[in-house]
Amino acid sequence: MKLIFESVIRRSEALRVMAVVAMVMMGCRYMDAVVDGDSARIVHHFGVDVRGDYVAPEREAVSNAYIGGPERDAAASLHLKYSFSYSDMTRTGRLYPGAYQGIGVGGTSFFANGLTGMPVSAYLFQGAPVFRIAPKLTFDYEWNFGASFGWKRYNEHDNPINVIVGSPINAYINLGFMLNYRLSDRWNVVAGVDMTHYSNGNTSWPNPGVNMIGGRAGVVYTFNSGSQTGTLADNMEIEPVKPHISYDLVIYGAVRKKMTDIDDWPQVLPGHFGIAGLNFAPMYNFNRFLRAGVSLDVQYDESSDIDSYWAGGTDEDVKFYRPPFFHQVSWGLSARGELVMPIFSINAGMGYNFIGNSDAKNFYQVLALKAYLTRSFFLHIGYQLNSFKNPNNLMIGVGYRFHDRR
Amino acid sequence: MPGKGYENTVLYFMKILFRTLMSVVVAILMFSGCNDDLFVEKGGGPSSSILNLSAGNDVSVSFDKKDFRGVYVYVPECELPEPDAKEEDYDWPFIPDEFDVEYPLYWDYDYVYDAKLFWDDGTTKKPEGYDTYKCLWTAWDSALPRRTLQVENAFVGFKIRYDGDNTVTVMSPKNLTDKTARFKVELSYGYKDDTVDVTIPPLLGAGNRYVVSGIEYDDEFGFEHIYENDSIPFSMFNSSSEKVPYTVSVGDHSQMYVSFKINPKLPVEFADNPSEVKVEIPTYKSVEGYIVEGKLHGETVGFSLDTVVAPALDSALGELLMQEGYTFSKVYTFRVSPGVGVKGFLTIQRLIISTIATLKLRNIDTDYEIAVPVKVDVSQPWFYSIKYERIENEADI
Repeated sequence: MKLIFESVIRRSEALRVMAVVAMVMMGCRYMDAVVDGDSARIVHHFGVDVRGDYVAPEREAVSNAYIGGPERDAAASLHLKYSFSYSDMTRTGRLYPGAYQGIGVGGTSFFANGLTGMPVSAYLFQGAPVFRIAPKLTFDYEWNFGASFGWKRYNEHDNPINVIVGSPINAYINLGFMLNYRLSDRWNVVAGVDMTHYSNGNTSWPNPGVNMIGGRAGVVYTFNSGSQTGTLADNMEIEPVKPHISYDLVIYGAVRKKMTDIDDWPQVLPGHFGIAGLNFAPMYNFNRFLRAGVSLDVQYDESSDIDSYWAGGTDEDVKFYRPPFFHQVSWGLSARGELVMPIFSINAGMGYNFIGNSDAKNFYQVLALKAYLTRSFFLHIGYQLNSFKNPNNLMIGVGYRFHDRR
Repeated sequence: MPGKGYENTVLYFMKILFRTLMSVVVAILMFSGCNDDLFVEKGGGPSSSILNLSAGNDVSVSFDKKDFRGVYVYVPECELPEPDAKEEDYDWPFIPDEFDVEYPLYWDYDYVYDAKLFWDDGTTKKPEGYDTYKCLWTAWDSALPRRTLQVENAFVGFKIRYDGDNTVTVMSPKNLTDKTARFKVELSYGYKDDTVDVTIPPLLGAGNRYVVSGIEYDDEFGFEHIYENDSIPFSMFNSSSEKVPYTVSVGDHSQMYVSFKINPKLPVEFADNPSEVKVEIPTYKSVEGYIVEGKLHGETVGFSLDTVVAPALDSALGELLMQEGYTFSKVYTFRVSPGVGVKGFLTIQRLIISTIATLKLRNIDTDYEIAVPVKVDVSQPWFYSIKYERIENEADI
C-alpha cells in the first residue's frame, strides 16, 4: 500500500488534476492554490472507510405496507475519498485549521439487493477537527452530500415490496462525528458514529426515505508529510471577521410530488409540480464560523391547496382547476443559522408560513448547502419539510450575499 | 506560467457549470406551471345539454376533445305498455305459437334493449356495457372510432354515431309508445362525465298519421300453414213447367282473404287511404301436382285494416288441374227439369298461411318511416270440388 501511495505522491500532476476536478464539482472559488500547483499550500488526503449501519424502521403506516422487506435492519458500505485542505501557509488554512473537503464514492449493501439494489454514492464532503482531546487525538465532524445511484426503486409490478424508495437516484446525506488518531505524519485512523439519510427530495413517490445510524472506521493517508495538524478550536484568538450584517438573497426552483386526499382517499397525484421560491435573509455574522438571522421566505407551490380545486377524477384521471397564482404563494419567516466554512456553508432554519392558504400555513424546516462560486455568489441546494416529518420540496437555486465584510 | 492551463480549464468548466445551473433554475422558474396536464379550465362542456330528437332530423352535440375518454349511452327510460305475455308464465315447451295469436304479441323479452355496433367497414359487434348503458367508444379502444351504435327494444330505439372528431350524432329515433322517451349520452373525460339528455317524442298518436309504404318478411321467421275446408251447400227445386238453368259459381265462394293485424297497443293512426303501395303477401302454388309451401311468390294486395278480399289464385291449382278445366272462375250450370230439383255442396279447400312481418309506415307530414310488426294471415283456396244429387220432392230440400 505504501508503495502505491509513494508512487502517487510523485505524480503531483495527477493530484492537482484530482483537486481541480473536486474544485469544479464544488464550484470552488478557492482554487488559486490548486491551480498554482503550490503543493505547500494544498494538502492532499486519500481515505478509505467502512461503515456499518442500523437501518431505522419506517413509520408505522409505511412499515405495515413493507411486508416482505429485508430481514436485516442493517447496511454496510465501503467508501473511497479524496480530499484536500489548506495548509497554514494560507489565510484559509490559518482560519480553519485542518478543514478538508473533497469528493468520495461509496457502495452500500442492505443485504437485500434484489429489493433495494446496491446503491453507489458520489458525493462532496467536508470535515474538520473540532478540538483536540489529546496530543494525537482530535474530535472531528464530517458531512457528506451527494447522489446515490442504482437503487432498485418501487414498482407496483416488478418491485411492489419496496415502498421506501421511489426513484433510482436519491440524495445522499451523511453527518458523522469521529475520533481521529494520528498514527504518523502520513497516516491517521478515524472512527466514530454517523447518521445517513437517503431520499429523493419528494420528487417521486414513494419517498419515506432511508434513515440509518451506525459506526465508521477508516484510515486517511496524507500525501504532504509534515502538514499542519491544527483544529478549528486553534487560533480562536484570531478573529478577522468583525461582527456585521450581511444579506442573503436566494432564488430557487424545484419539482415535487404531491399526495392529497381525494374523496377521503389518499392519492399520489400524477406528474410533478413546480416550485419557485425566494429567500431574503439579513444575517448577523458573529464570527468566522457562524452567522444567524431571520429569513423572509416566499414560495410558489403549484400543488399547494390543490385539493380545494379538484375538478374530478381519481388516480391517473384526476384533474384540478388551476388555483389563482397568489393563492399558492406562501409568505413565511424563519430563523436561520449558518455554519460557515471554506467553500461551503451549512444553513439550517425553522419557520412558519404566516400568509398563505390553509395547506401552506405550516411549521417548516430548512436545511441547505451553499457552495460559493465567487466571493458572494453561491449555489444553493436545500430541502424543506414541515412538522419535522412531511416532505415539502427541494430548493435548487443560486444566491448572492450583499454587504459581505469578511 | 505553471498552472495557467489548469486555470483556464477550471474557469471553462466553471462557466459551463454556472450557465447550466442558471439555465435550469431559470427554466424551472419560467415553467413553474409544469404539471399542465393535471389542470383543466373551468366551464366547458358539450354544446348542448338537451337534445330533442324529432322524426327525420339528426341532432348533433359537440364537445371538448381534451382528455376525452369515451362515449356511453344509457338506455331509454319511458313508460312502456304492459307486455302481452311473459315467458316465465309458461313452462317449456308449452309456449303459445306466435301464429296462433290474432296479432303480434309483446313478450317480456321484447322489452330488453339490444345493442349493436356497426363499423364503417361493415363489421358488427356487440358493444361493451351492461343492461343500463352501452359503450359507443372509449380511448382504450384501438380500433378506429368511425362507428354507429344502435340501441333498441320493441318500442324504443335510436342510433348514435361517432366519427372520432368532437361531435356525436343521434339519429333514427323510434318510439312506438305515446309517451316521450328519454336517454342520456355520457361524454366521459376520466375526471368528469358530461351528460346530454336526449328526448324522443312519440311517433305514434299525437296527430302523427301514416300510410303503408311497404312490408318486409323475415326469412327466418317462417310461415304456418293450416288446412281448412269451406263447405257451401246449394239447392234448387223447379216448380215451374219448363226447364230452368241453375248456376253455382266457384268464384263467388273461393275468394282469398288477407288480414293485417297490428298490436292494438300501438296507437297507429292511418291516413284516410292507408295503402300507398300494394304490399306483398305469402301465397302457395302447385307445381306438378304438388303443393309448394307458402312463401313469397310476388302476389300483392292493397293494404287495409279490414280483411282484404281478393280472387282466388289459379296458380294454386296447378297446371295439370287447369288443363283438366279446373279454375276458380268456373261456373257450374244445372238445367233442372220441371218438378225436380238439385241439392249439393261446393267444397272449397283452403290453406291458411300465417306469418309475422314488418310493416313500414311513412308519416304523411314528415315522410319519416317507422316499422311495426304485423301479423299477416292469408286464407287461400287451393282446390275445390262439388257434389250434388237430384231431388224428386221439394220437401227434401
